Amino acid sequence: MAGRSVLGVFREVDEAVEAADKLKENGMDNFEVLSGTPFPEGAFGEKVANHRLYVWPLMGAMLGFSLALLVTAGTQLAYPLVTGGKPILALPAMFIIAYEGTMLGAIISTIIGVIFESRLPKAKLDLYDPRITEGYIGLVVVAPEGEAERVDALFKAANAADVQLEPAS
Amino acid sequence: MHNGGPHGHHVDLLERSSEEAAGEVLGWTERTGPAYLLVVLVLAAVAALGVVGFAMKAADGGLDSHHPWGYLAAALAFIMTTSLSAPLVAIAPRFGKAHWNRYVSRIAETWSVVGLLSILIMVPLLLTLPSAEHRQTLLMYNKVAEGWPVGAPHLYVALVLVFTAINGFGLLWASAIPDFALAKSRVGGLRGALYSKLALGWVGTKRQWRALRAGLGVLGALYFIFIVWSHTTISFDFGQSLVPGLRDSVFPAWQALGGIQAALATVIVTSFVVRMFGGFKEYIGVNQFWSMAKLMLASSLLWMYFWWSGFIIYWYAKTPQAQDFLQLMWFGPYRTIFIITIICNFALVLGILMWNPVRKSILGPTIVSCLIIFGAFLDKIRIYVGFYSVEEYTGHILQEVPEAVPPGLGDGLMVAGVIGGALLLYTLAIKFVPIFNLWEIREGSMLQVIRPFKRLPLKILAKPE
Repeated sequence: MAGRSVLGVFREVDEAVEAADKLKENGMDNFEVLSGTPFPEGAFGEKVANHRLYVWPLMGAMLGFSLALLVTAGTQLAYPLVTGGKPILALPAMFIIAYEGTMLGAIISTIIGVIFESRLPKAKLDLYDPRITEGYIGLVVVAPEGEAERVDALFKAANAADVQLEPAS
Repeated sequence: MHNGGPHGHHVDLLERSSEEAAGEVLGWTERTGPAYLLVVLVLAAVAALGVVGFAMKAADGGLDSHHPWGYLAAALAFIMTTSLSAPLVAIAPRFGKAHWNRYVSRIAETWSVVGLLSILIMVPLLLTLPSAEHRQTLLMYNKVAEGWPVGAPHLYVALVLVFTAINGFGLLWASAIPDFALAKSRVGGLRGALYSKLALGWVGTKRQWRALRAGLGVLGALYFIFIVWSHTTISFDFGQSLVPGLRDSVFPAWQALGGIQAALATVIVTSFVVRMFGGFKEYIGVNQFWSMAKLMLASSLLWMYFWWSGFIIYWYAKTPQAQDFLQLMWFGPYRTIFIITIICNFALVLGILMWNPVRKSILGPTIVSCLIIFGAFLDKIRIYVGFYSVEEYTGHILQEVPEAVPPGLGDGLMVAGVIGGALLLYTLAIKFVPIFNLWEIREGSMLQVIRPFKRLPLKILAKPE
């Protein structure tokens, strides 16, 4: 949807909540909340953002487990020397290596998952105010064509400390 | 810190705005006065002495045999049980949505930097560790196929420690991303540029906070699983597999439990130092020490129970072999050390922390923590020096209980160097990574409030799901 991003920066949480309410009243419920503190989900009446972080360690663990299985089974089958009447593919002996492989896959994929699901790294910041990390609240909304000035006024009416508009293209 | 209430009733809450807290903590992180530099210099000198000790030992006994390196193995086990286990104190209460841990979680997580040192120490230990042939290692070497699994146990022990270190660094970095983002806007120069790189452009969207929370949960769970596994592996491959015939399934679990006990002790002592000498009395209060002391008392009771469970098997067996193990591990050449360990890690802990006024204080848990750390140190010496001194590590039974091995100059320098090195890494890290988890503290301030209930001030805690 074409439109312009508008950032409202609020000193008080209540002011940000009031502005968010007004955005919703005006049919703009797809706003983003920026904060230096993790507020409980839905504190601003915002849509709850989804993430798939739990898939990452699961996929990583499965990949690590498969690789470990490949290595252990592969090496045993490559040199099939029966020892003490034990089967060539003995699961108890493969367990530890499979465990370590699984854990390695899970750890690395989780770290990558945190980065990916956070949509990081960001080389260039979009509309942002450094005061947000100090405790201010930011509300970002993509205003429909011709509505940016109305959002600007709406934020200012809610006592925004500052409002930034994306330059018109 | 707000305190108040009759009859020892205690409530506390940090009375700082987020800006004030950020200013104080980041200012302290950046400041390096003469006292700090002196501490760094002394620790660096002690760590350098450790290198000298290592060189002395290497020149004297060489790297051909594992026997001379018992004290180094004990030092590795000691930093694993204290420093590398410490992040558990941040992880477990976070799972339980506790609030008290917000002021000590970064203090605990920062200990994961010692993972670097553990990898360094591991190298000579692995070079001297005998082949898995004819030893009871976890990896069942030669049991299934000749020479399989390849590289056992050295490769897999190395991987365990490397993964633990990666996991620990990942956990520390992830938890510090929002604080790096805050710091980059306040600090300039090279430090600011580094903060900026590590923050990766974090702006604090809801998606980012959700991913961070979930990531900390998963990385914490993985760390918990892996540190327990590290204790198991190290105590097996550097410990009981060097004693022929010793098959004790309780021993690794007892060592892992000792790690939880020592982790709490380490974080309590570190919190005390940060509180007293860092000027953060307003941040770390009785509540933190009290909460950790309760867990430490419980883990000490379990520690004793696990030791007893392992011991009773040999004591009841009363076979000649079991009696040799009793002598080697507890009642022989290391009896005095063992008795001191039991006193420090159980008897005194119970005798002191069973009293609520002591448990609910700052000094009481700190003194007990010092005892536990000392006891853990002696315990590692007893186990690893004793096991490393067994002459014939192959075979089916222990042929002879060796005499106690007193430390030489090289051993003393090495052990001091390892402990000094661990403290040096931590001391350097806290001047880069903020010592308090600022975003967790800010969140905690939002979710806690003190309200009067009749004549009593009560702390109301919110726990959003």
